[in-house]
Amino acid sequence: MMNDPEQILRTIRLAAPSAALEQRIQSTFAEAAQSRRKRRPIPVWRWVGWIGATGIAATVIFHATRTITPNPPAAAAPAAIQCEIESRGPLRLLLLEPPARERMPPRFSVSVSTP
Amino acid sequence: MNSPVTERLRAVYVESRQSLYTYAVSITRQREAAEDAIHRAFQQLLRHDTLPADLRPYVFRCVRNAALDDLRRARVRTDSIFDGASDPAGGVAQPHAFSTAELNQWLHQLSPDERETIILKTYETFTLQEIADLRGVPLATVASWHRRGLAKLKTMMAHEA
Repeated sequence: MMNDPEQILRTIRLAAPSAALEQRIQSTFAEAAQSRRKRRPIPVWRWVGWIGATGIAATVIFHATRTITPNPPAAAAPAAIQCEIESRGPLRLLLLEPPARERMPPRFSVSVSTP
Repeated sequence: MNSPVTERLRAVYVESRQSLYTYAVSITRQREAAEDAIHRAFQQLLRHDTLPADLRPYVFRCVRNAALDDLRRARVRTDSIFDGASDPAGGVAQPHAFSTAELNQWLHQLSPDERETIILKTYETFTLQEIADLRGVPLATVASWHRRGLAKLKTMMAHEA
C-alpha cells in the first residue's frame, strides 16, 4: 500500500476543463490574431518621413520666428553723473579766505562713473 | 501569419491547459471561476507585444493573479480539483484506501501556500526553485511550505488508515 501523499495524489484522475472554456480560449486567440493583423507595424520609411518632416517644420518655424521678432534696440550708453560738492565748515573758511591773489573759492568736483 | 506572441501563448496553453485548470481550481475552489480566471488571464496576455523568454511560469503567475482576484468575491466554494470528488476512488481500483472526497478535504485543510506548492509540484512538475520564482518568495520558504504540507497530509492519511 502506498503512503507517499504525492504519489497518492497522482493516482487520482483530475477534473478537466470544459469544452466551453476551450471554445472561449480558441475564439480569444482568433480575435487576438485578427486584431494583430489589423495593426501591422509601421514601416521604417514612414518613421523616417515623419522625423524628416518634423525636422523641416521645426527649422522653418525657428527661422520664421527669428525674422518676425525685431532685434531689441541697442542699450544707450549710461551718461556719466557729475557731482559738485561745495565744502562747508572750517574747510569752507579756509577756502573762502585764500591768499589775496586767489580770491576765487576753489570748487571740488567728484566724478562717479555709473556701473 | 500569426504573431510570435499568439503562437507562443497558444503553445503554452495547449501544453499546460490541464495543469492551469487544476491550479486555478485549487485556488478558486470553483470550476466556473477557474475557467473565467484562465480566460481572463489569456485575454490580458494576448494584449502584450512582447513576452518573457521563460513563458510557462509567467502564464501560471497570470492565471494565479486572475484566480486570486476571483477569490476576493464572495461565493460558495466547494469544487474539487479531482474528477468525481464524491465517488470513492472514482470506482477504479486504487493502490490506496482513500476516496477523492477525503483527499480533497485534506488538501483544503492545508494552508493556501502549502496547497498551492503541493499542487504545482505534484501535477505541474515545477521544481521548488521554479515555484519560488513564480511566487516571488525565497526557495527556503517554498521548501518549508512543501515539507509542512506533505507532513500534514501524511498525518491525516495515517489517522484515516
